Amino acid sequence: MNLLLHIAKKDLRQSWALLAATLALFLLTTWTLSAPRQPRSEWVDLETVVLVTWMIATGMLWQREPLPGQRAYWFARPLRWQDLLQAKSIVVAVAIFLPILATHAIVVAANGLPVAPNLPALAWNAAMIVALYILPVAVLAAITRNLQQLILWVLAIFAAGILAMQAYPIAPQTFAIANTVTNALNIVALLAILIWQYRTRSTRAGRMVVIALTLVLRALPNWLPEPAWFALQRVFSPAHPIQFELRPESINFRNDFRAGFRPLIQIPISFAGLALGQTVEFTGFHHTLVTAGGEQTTDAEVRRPPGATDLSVLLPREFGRRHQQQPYDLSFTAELTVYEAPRTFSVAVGESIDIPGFGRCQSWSDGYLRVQCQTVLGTTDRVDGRWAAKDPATNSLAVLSIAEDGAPLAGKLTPVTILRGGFQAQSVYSNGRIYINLRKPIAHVQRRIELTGIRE
Amino acid sequence: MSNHVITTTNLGMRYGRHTVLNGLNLEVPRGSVYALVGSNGAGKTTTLQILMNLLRGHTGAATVLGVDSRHLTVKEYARIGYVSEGQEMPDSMTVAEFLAFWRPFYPKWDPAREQELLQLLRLPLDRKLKHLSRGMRMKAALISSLSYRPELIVLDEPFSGLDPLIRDEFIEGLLAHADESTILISSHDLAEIESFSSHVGLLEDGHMAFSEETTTLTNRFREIEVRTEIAQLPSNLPKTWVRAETTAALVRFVETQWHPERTASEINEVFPTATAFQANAMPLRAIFVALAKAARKAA
Repeated sequence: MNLLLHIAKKDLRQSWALLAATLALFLLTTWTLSAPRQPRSEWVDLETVVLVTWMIATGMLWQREPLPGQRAYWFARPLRWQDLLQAKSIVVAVAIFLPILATHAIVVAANGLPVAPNLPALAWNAAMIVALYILPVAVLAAITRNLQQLILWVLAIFAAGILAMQAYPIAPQTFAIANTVTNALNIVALLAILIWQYRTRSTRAGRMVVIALTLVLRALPNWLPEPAWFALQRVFSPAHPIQFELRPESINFRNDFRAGFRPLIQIPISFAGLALGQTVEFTGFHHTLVTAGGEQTTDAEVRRPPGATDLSVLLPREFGRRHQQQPYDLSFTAELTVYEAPRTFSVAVGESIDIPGFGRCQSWSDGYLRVQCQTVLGTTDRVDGRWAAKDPATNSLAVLSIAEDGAPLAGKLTPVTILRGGFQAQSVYSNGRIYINLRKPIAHVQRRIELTGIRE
Repeated sequence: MSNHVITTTNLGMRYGRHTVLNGLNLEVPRGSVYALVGSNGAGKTTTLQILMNLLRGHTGAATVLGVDSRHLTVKEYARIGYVSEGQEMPDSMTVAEFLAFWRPFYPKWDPAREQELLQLLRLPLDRKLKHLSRGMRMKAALISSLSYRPELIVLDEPFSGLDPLIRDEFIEGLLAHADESTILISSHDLAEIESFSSHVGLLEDGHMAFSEETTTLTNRFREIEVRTEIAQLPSNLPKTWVRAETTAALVRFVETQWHPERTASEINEVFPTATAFQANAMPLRAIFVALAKAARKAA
């Protein structure tokens, strides 16, 4: 332990100026990006500047005892690679992790949000920042000889990642789970490479593994088909008794291809098994449409806007023309997200409200009605606001955020997430209130529907 | 306890298709100052790096301080001092910080010896390593490798590119404070290590051409000049004669197994018209050059 601290103290002594400068910049960035009502600085992307300075500081720290080659001053000395690696980790914990945590806690407090209940989440987020931004640079620093080489490698890896991501189409519905899984795999693999490189100093092999890992992990989210990601999402989700309630006699099929319309099947849909207040949203469809003659298509377009009671299946025009007057069999699989009953809070115009477990919301008017919520590290809740001056049921709805922000493996650089919404009201009702609904996702399920003999 | 601090058996190493070491057998006796010599690219650095477990040989085995070189641990490294030409140093450290950093790693670190070495080698403690000349950096490395009285000191081309004054100071520091150590030193220049090496091994084409005590080696090599008038060299020269050449009234060769009576007898037998001969002692450098040229000619 004494030797560990001895090495760590040496690293801190040698790197303190750069680390201090990096942290000052990080504090400035965090403050700027988390300040309420303040427009985001556009003239320079501060997050990128912070990442570059982090990269340099981390690279220099790690390369003080370089691994490639046979000429480093610490080779053939009684310095264990385990001690070296642990000492670097201590420096990262002391000089990067703790200052991030402290900075984020300060910014959270300065925004009027509670620190103590959010401390575990802030600590986890700081750990994720280290894992997602510092660890990759540490690995690259461990397989390169100097800062120039490191920067070239960072650029090359970045370019390879972009190319790999563009090789397959993007599937936005599965972004959250794909991102979480990719990040988890990335962290585990990078840790393994780092330890392996320190243990064996097999630089050439290490470099090849890093390139392969980049290509595989960047391509993976888009390469794996959507159903696979949904299946993975369901593995981590609790079960839910939700079922479709269909009334086949109400299905409406219009094949007006002659009038230039695409053939449309409208399926009235409702659900059974939902507890009081629970809602459901479609996150994905996979379907097969088969004609009586046996021809099938999976190219139909399925639509179900949020809140709608019908499922619309739009057939390819040419398919509809070829098979007019024929009955169809439709089978489709729906990916559903079930939300618990909303927690509803209201805030009067010109006031703010603290929402336990979420954050703070405020409303004001500048000709339009505005609502803004600040939450620590985002939220996985669906958040929407409803303006209710006279009749809450008829006024407009503003969705302030959807579910991806608070992903647990994200590593957010700014601790306070600001959700904004506005209502196009030309005049202000002083007695109006903004109702804010928070709906927590509780289950991801898959349900299947088989409909036969659908006719015009 | 083995009498040899370092042993290699059939050590082999390739870089791609290029064979660097080809069945190298090396034994470094305890307490010796062993000079591993050879031309540039002969495999000296590779050998030392395998011994220090910085590289893995492809074949054969090596033991250092009785331990397989592939399994050297901090325990053994605490008994070894390794200084290499072109060693990358922590540039942002001062000399004092550099020595202070290493001190806790060596249980036998002797502050008094460190001070002696600092005075002898005249290193400025407050100067950063990046502001030191190459020779001064080597001195810093040497002090950090001698202050704990290592049992084995391994020096890879330590004098390469050093000016004579610094080289002499370096050698002085080494010899004054390495009395309990075995020293393995590699060099392509024999002149600089001849004065203090007790053993010498010549590395040639990846294997050991010879390895013996320096005094034995210098005793068995003589440059012979024979006064005789012959048109051309006879074909039946003894195998121990190399680099034979003739001028108008003189035959010159290198006797690799000098023995006054036997060599005289062989000269009389090969050159019956010889009127006189002279045997000159050879410095290691001349021996090395003669052998290298003979090997090239034979190849």
